[in-house]
Parts: sequence; structure tokens; C-alpha cells
Amino acid sequence: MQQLSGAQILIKELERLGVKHIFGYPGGAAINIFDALYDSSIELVLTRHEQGATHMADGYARASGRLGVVLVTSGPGALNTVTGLLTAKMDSVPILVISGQTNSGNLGKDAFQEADVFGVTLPLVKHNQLILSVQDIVPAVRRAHVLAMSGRPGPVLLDLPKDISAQKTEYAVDDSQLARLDTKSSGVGALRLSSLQVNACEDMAHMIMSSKRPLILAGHGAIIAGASDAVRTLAETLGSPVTNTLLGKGAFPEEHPLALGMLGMHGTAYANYATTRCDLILSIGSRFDDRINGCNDHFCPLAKKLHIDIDPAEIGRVVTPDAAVNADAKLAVEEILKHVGKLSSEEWLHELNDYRRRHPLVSGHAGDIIEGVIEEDHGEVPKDLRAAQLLECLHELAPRDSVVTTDVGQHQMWAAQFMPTKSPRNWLSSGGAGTMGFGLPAAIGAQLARPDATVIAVVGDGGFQMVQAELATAAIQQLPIKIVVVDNQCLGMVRQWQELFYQNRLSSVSLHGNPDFVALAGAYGIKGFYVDQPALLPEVISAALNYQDGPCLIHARVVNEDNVWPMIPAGKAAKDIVLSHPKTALPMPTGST
Amino acid sequence: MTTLRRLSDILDDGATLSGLNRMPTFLNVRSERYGLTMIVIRELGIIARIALIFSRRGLDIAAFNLRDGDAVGISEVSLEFEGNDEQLRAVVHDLRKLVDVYSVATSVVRSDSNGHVKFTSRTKASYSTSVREQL
Repeated sequence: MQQLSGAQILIKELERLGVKHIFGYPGGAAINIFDALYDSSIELVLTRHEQGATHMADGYARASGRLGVVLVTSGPGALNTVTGLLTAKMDSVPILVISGQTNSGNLGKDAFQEADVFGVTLPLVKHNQLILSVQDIVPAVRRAHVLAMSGRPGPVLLDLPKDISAQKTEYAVDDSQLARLDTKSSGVGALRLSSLQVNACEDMAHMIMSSKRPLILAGHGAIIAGASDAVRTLAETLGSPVTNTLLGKGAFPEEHPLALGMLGMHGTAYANYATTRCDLILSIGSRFDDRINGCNDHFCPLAKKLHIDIDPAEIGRVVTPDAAVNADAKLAVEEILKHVGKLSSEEWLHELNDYRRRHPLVSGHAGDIIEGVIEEDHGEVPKDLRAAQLLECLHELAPRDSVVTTDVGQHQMWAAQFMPTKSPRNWLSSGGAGTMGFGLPAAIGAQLARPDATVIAVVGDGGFQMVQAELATAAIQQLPIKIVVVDNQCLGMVRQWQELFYQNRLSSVSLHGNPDFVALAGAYGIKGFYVDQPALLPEVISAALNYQDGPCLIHARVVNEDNVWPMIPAGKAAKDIVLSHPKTALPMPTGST
Repeated sequence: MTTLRRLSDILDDGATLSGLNRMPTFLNVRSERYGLTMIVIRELGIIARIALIFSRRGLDIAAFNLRDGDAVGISEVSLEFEGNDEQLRAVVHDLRKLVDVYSVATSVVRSDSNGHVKFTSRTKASYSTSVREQL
């Protein structure tokens, strides 16, 4: 038994959970916690912005399945984590954010750097707690850990007032409760199926066996559950094609003969075609988000819908399933495997392969380069390097099991299309929230979580500039991440929408004044490479991939006006897919973003 | 018992008051008035958490009450709101996910033409997800 302060107890509890890294930024309200960290084995990775810290913890968690931990101070520090909390909540990522707070007696008095962090973050977290007694710290941390990691993972926030962090109390080391918990995510709370779930799986298996044109939809849930082996066995046993969502990339190897790649708004034509023609769709851990399901009435019109999801709130929320199992994806798929065999799906596979031959993904669409508009302003000669080509080459030369993180925008879609993912937790991208600035910090977090992996951050010039200060963090940590800045001097995705739906009225999408990214990297002591010619791609990319003396940055100058195809405009169904630049104007989308 | 007619029927210019007439017009379904009863653990912010689940969907809470429950630290919350089946379903699921909500029971409170309110059905109490056991 020892007398420890609240801050010391907090740190001891985190150590006992097996936390090795905390991403954070100090401040007055959290200073006691930072003092306790001074004596701890936990490394505090000091970032340059709290948003960067949150995305780093997020990338750390996505890449490893372990809990990502953030430590920030009160007021503006804590509120800078809000975007990161949304990002983690939307994509079901387990992170724990600990924020300092003003003295408990000052709450509500507009004290210095005081903010109602508890209130602000209520809708953005799986759970949060304002700790008002030093005795509450141990149960709060343990509860936060279980909540963040179990069931459908999500972010948890603990708000710790400064005086509570200074208060001393008895701290008894009690490992008995921790024996059944560790910081790896799979398995917590999901040990065995109930008999109801077993029956539901059997019913699902029977429905699957009566299908002639099945389609497996692998989502993030399949990755979180560690179900990729089971999914693969299921697909191969049935002879069923598999498509994946953006976040499900890697749940099923995308270069497998049965893989159709990503479906949805910018998914492959053949994956979307499969949804229009399948007679059964089995969602394993996908929530039928509006990026894949623009128009609910016309989604998989001929199919029975089966839904495996660990979150009961998701079942029936968007798509009313014909059968559903509310369980961990791995357990459910393994149970279904006991009751299935080979389906006579040869004709179906033949139909899909034929369609794929006729409508493959193309990395250089003609008819997209519109002379004049943005180029005239800058007086530049149009470059002929296209982002999709760049990413194809990068995929070719990078190790097969590289971890790829992306930012948000056109480059993200091209990366999803042209960088097939082979295994789970190798594709880290902000899907539900679509947070610009995610790519670079997520790569930093991922590299720390997986020091032996090759980590590549594919970012746009827009998102990169939102977090470019984190170059310092990468440099200090000497992490050999490869940062590929896809520079088209504009906010490409919005520009595409303005071109297609707003008569090319380009409002506020031109990124004037981009810095020389190679010089910027050099200012941080980071090696820089530049490429704007397709012929030079292999040389530059190989050099960057082989560079091991710390981080390096490739500034890839690509054509400004390029569009992502195919596209299903928001609110439209898969049958309304646009395969390449239309000759006539498209109507305004009925859906949202 | 006050009438449940909308105030905009009474006002000449059909002005909408906050909270009323907020049902999205594309939903061509008659909205029901639902009642929810919850057993909750008295933790800081429990009312705020419950209220946010409604406000984020643009649902207006028409009645709300929290009172002591059967044990120390337990409270009962009862509330009423207007919406449709889909919204009820979504709201109940979200409420069950709240860590501090132990159970949720639903009922349909429908008004007849005289403005009197009566119960028409009562669904079974439902309990929140298995993570409760670990806490």
C-alpha cells in the first residue's frame, strides 16, 4: 500500500494495462500527470498539435488493435482533440483521451483554460467521465479500457481536474482484475456465441446455401474481429465473390481471384455491378453506410440481405435484413462455416469476370483534362503525371505488406482503387468522418505500433498542410515513414464536384501558395524527393522506399484537373454508376455529400 | 387534458414555434407519440446524454421526468416524444447503448380525436449490451 497522487495512480494504471506510448501535449491543468510520466516507462510522444496526437493514437490503434492513448491539457488542448474523437467514433477505433481540467472547485466559473469538455464530447465518444474523486480514478480507467476495446470499439474520454490529480490516496496494487484484460482488442466480451446466435447463424447458412449469386461484403467489423481467415475460408468454400468497403480493405486479400475490390461511390464498376445482380448479400461487419448505399430503395434490388454486426443498433438501421446475427464477426462466420459447402456459382463468377474484363479500373481516363481554367491562373504547363499512375507504381514497388495511410480526397479514392490491400490492419483511412489531416499522424502512430512495417502516408497537398507541423514529430522519433504528397494544387474532390455538378464554377478550391514541400521537409531535417514525370517514377519511388535514415517525403506534382471514376453520384443507386467523364451535364445529386 | 392539436392550426399566419412542426415533410407517415421508461444509474450527465440522442435527430422531447428508483443510485426516467417507428427503433437502440442506462421499455401513446391520451401497447423491457457484465 502506498500513498500516491491521482496523477501517479492514473499512470500506474495505464502501465498495468500495457500502454507503451501516449501521444500528447502538456499544459497547466495536466502538469501533474506529465510530472508523474517523468518517472514512468511509458513514452510520451510530444506532438505539435493535439489533433495530430489524437490521429496518431488512432493510427496506432488501427494498425495494432491495441488501445491508443492521448494526454492533453484543459480548454483548447482538449477541444483540439474533438475532430480526432469524431474520426475514431465513426470508424470504431479504440482510443482513450485523458484531458486535464481546471480545479474541481472552479468548474463552471470560466476559469483559465476551462471548457466543458465533458459536455462538448458527449455525442462524440462511446463514453466519457468527469472524475470528481481520486478514488474514482482506478475504476474509471479500467472501465474506460473495457468500453473502448469491447463490443464495437470506440473512443473514451476521461476529464481529470488538477486538484484531483494532486490528491493523494492509498493505492493497492491489485492485478487480479486485470488478469482477463489486455490491450489487444479481439475477444474482449466475445468469447462464445449464445444458443440464439448459433441458431441464427444456422438459419443464415441455410439461406446462403440456397443462393446462386452470392456476394460477401467485408467491412471494418471483419477486421476488428480478426475474422479475415474465416472470411477467406467462407468465400473459398462457397465459391462466392467478395467485395469490401473502404474500411474493410484488407479483410479479404484484394488481389485474390474472388475479390471484386471496393464497392460504392468510387468503387469498382464490377463490384457495384455485382450488387445489382446478386441474389444474396452477406455483410460481415459493414454498416451499409451511404458511401456504398446511396439509395436504399435500390440497394441490391434482387438480393436477400444478411447482416452480421456486433452492434445491435446497426442491424436494421439502414437496411432491413432478411436475416441478422448480432455477434462478433469471427465467431459468427466460423459458426456459419459449419453448415455450408460449395455453391453452384460458376455462372455467376463467369458473369462477373466478363463484366470486369469489359469495365476494369483505368488509371488514366481520357477526356478529363480540361485545358485552361486553373492552369491559366498559374501560367503553368500542364504536367502529365497522374495520381493514379503514381499510386499504381508505388503499390508495385512497395513491400506487399506495407501499411498505407491516407488523407481524404481524390488521392484517397485512387489509393483505395490502385493499391489493393493484402491483409488486415494495413489500410488506415478516415472513412466515416473523412477527416483531412489524418494521413500523416496516423502513419506516425502506425509506425510506432509496428516498428518493422513499411509505413506509407499517401496525402494530398490540402490535408497535408493541415498537419504539416507533425513532420517534426516524425523527425524527432526518426520514424522511417514515407510521406507521398500528391500535389495537384487544389482541393481535388470538391473541384470534381464543382466541375460535374456546379458548371465548373470553381469556388475556393485552388491551393495557391503551396510551399516547396521538399524544402519544407528539409527544414525539418527530412529527406525530400520530387517527381513530376511518369518515366522517373520507379527511380524516385525506389529511392524513397530504400531510404532508412528516418522519414522521407516524396513531392509528387500531378495534373491539377483529374477525376475519380467510376462515380455513383450521391443519392443514386449502383445502376446509375458513371464510368467515365460524361458528355452531358449530370443532374445535381439528391444525396448529401 | 390539453389538446394535442398543433399550435400552428390556431395561429393565423401558421407560424411554426420551436419544437413543433419539425417533422421532416418527406415522411408521409402519421407520427405517433411514444413513451419510454428507463431505469438508469445516477451518473453525472445522464439527462444530457439522453437528451442528446433526441436532439441530434431533430426529435423533440414532449415530456420528461426523472425520479428516484427502487435502489440507491438508481433512477427512473420517463419521457415522451413524437416520431415514427423507425425513429423509435433508432432511439431505443442508442439509449440501450448508453453505459448508464440499464433498461429501456417502450410504449405507444396515441391520442384519439378528442385529445385524450391512452396507452395502446407496451413492449417488454430490454437490457443493454453485454459489456454491462464487465463493468
